[in-house]
Amino acid sequence: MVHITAKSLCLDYPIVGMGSQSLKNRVLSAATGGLISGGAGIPVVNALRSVDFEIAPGDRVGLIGHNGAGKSTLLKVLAGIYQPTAGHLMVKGRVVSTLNLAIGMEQEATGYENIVIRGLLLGMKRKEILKHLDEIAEFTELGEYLDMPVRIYSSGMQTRLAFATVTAMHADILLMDEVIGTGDASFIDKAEQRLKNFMSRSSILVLASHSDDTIRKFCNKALLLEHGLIIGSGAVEEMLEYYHQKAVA
Amino acid sequence: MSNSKSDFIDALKGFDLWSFLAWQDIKLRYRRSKIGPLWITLSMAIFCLSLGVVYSKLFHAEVREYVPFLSLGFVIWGLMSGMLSEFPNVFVDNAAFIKDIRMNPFAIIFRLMTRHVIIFAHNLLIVIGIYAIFQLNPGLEILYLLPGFMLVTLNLLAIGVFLSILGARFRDVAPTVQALIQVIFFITPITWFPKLLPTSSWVVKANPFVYFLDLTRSPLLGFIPHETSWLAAFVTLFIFSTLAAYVYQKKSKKIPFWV
Repeated sequence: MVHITAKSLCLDYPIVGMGSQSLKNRVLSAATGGLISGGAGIPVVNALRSVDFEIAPGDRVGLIGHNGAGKSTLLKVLAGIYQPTAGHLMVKGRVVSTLNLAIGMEQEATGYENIVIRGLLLGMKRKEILKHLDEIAEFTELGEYLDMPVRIYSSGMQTRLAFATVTAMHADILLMDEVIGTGDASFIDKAEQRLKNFMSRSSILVLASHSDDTIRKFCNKALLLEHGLIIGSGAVEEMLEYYHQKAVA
Repeated sequence: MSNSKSDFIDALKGFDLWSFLAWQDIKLRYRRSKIGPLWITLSMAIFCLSLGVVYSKLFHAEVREYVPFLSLGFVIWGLMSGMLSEFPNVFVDNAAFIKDIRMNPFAIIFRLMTRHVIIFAHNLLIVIGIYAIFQLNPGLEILYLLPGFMLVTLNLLAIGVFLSILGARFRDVAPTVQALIQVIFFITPITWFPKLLPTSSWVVKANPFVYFLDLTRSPLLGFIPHETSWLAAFVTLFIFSTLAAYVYQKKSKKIPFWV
């Protein structure tokens, strides 16, 4: 069954490159009596500090909190990009993450090729992608541009392409960092409809957003994060109120 | 917990992804230039011919003996050095993917290696050219190329896993490897015959690339690779893959933080 369970989940983010990334420094520090063993002397940010939560099918969870509260980090852990430093995390189901749409485009490749690349990266099989190719192409409304290199696309066109590909996926668990801002007005209605469809096909949604409206619109639960801790979880309105109270205080 | 074995098998199953990306890399090279990767072939051919003619005089060797020896060795060296020089930066170069999507590190390494093997296949034109010009026929001995090539590729994979993780953590690894490649080129019998050195020379004995080269160049020239080469390549494979597995097991999950 599709679900996510986290028990005392911790994530320490090592900051290499603050004087410790070069091999020379390592060797020198060894010569002067420093520790060679990994970790020693590398500053660490405790991005998540022992968080516990459980997400069941049907849950649409909004992550709220200040910048740097750990929302994006949590999404990246759920997506399997970062592996927990300590604690236990169980993610069951096919995960699709749309954390950053703009990234990962091959600029010299054509639109069609980028659809295939992105699909493959998201874990689709080639056959599956080719089956969806026409539908994706149609939705982007990019027409002949799809045969041209993505390098010449405007940023809005690139977003359309990425958005259409990602939302053609089948996902059990959908992770989103801010809802995709999709360019021009005529496109937005269409995109929202597609997004809703996409979300309804997946049984769990985890969405990080700074917009109260977005959270209200898409979520039925909320987790409030602060300094890498979950300081509240429950109904959306309740959490938003709590969040704003804290912000004032 | 990350596991080198299961990641490795998963990446093999994800053949679709890295093979497509590798072909894509090649396709893009053709798209912006008329002959694409054949530029490498062309410059290699010119290098081999000019160096071959000059050095054969220098070494008082027969042109028809020296030029094929040099050219085939250089084509294989091109494959090995190409991979080696890109390994340390491969995760940094793919940072955009690694930070955005759960990516199997092996898939990234496979993409790089596949791309280089495809370029190598282009360079086989030089081998065919050499056969035609010097009317060489390697005979059935060429069949040794297959196991030899496999063994060398596995060695390179193991070295690649180690170098790429190390290179993601320490940015000094790339220039160090770059410098080492140059040294290895000169201490490996590519431009000179191994017989010019006394047989016991440690330069030849301790250098794994001597054995890698023997396993691949000799079959192309119509000789059976030396038994020592097989043994040595298996030993280095064992050492390198143990090292690679250890580093992968310990550090692969740190890659997204480092790049």
